[in-house]
Amino acid sequence: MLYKVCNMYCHTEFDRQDLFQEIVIQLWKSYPKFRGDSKFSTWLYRIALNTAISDLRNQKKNITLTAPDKLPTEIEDIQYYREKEEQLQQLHMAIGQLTEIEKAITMLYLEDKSYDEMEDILGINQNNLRVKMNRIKEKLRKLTKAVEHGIG
Amino acid sequence: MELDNLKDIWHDLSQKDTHQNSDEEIVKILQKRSQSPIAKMKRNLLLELITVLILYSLSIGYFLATAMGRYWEIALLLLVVGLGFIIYYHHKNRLLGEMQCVTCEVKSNLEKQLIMLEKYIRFYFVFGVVFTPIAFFAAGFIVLFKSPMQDAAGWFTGSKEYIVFIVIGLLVTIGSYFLNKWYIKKLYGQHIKKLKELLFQMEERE
Repeated sequence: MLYKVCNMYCHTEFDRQDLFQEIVIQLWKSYPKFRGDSKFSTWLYRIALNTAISDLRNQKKNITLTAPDKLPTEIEDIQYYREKEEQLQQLHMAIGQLTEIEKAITMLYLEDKSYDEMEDILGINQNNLRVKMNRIKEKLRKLTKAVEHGIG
Repeated sequence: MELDNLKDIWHDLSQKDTHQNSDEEIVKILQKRSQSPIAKMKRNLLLELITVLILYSLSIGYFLATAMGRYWEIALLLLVVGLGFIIYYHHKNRLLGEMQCVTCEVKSNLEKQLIMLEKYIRFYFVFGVVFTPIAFFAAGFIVLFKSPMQDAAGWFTGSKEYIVFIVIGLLVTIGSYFLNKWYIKKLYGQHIKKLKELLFQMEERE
């Protein structure tokens, strides 16, 4: 899960390692205070997303669109079906153009988190989340279409 | 392409995730220093405190030792200012400690960061703007009163040096206002803008 957050928010290997390190440090520091008031996964996502979103060093580099050759190396490494790989590349390119908050919502959605849990992690009320989710889906649809046609 | 159609690929990615950090690697990571903006601010604050303590100790020593202790009042003034700095650093460090809550909801963490950072900046600004002229005038008056070449009573009756001293003091006061304003904006302006932008993204609805 931590690698997914890093891949979502960073585009270079250096930035990914940097963010991974930061999240691990924050987890380590926060673990003694974990009282089990929330689910462990909620707690984990809060720390990972808080660190990624408020870590302003990396966000500057996120403005630009990811070039296919700079996509996470594991996509290249693993033997994937070509069609799926292309779809995933398109998804990553499209996600690269979302805002930091939209990325967080998209990731939680892809991770099959309920709106209840998303609200717990992000602090955005469910109605607002649904509105945002619809907007993100529409945005990604347009963005992936643009990528398919070589625009963007 | 629909986002829902990609869920399967996304989940496959978790199963095929080949990243596995060994215990050694994790220990190595944990030995490194945090590079988060707040951790960096805390480190800079500590460095600033150490620098101030060294410089003030040397200056106090110098004024106590020089000219047979004639300027001991300046040493005392520096001691008071130095103590003021310690209180100032303590307060800033406390604000930095309260600035981040990584285990809180993302939105409340961002709100907290923004509120605390604005408090921090306000304190930084007021302290800089008020303290600089006070220190300047206090030090200036001590030097002028203690100077063997000056007649303190005559000095106040509109002497040229007195006017120059007041004019420089006013320039320092005005200058410190603008300098602090510019420096704070340079240091934290982008950070505050980004936090406001993130909160706007969270609250924004169609």
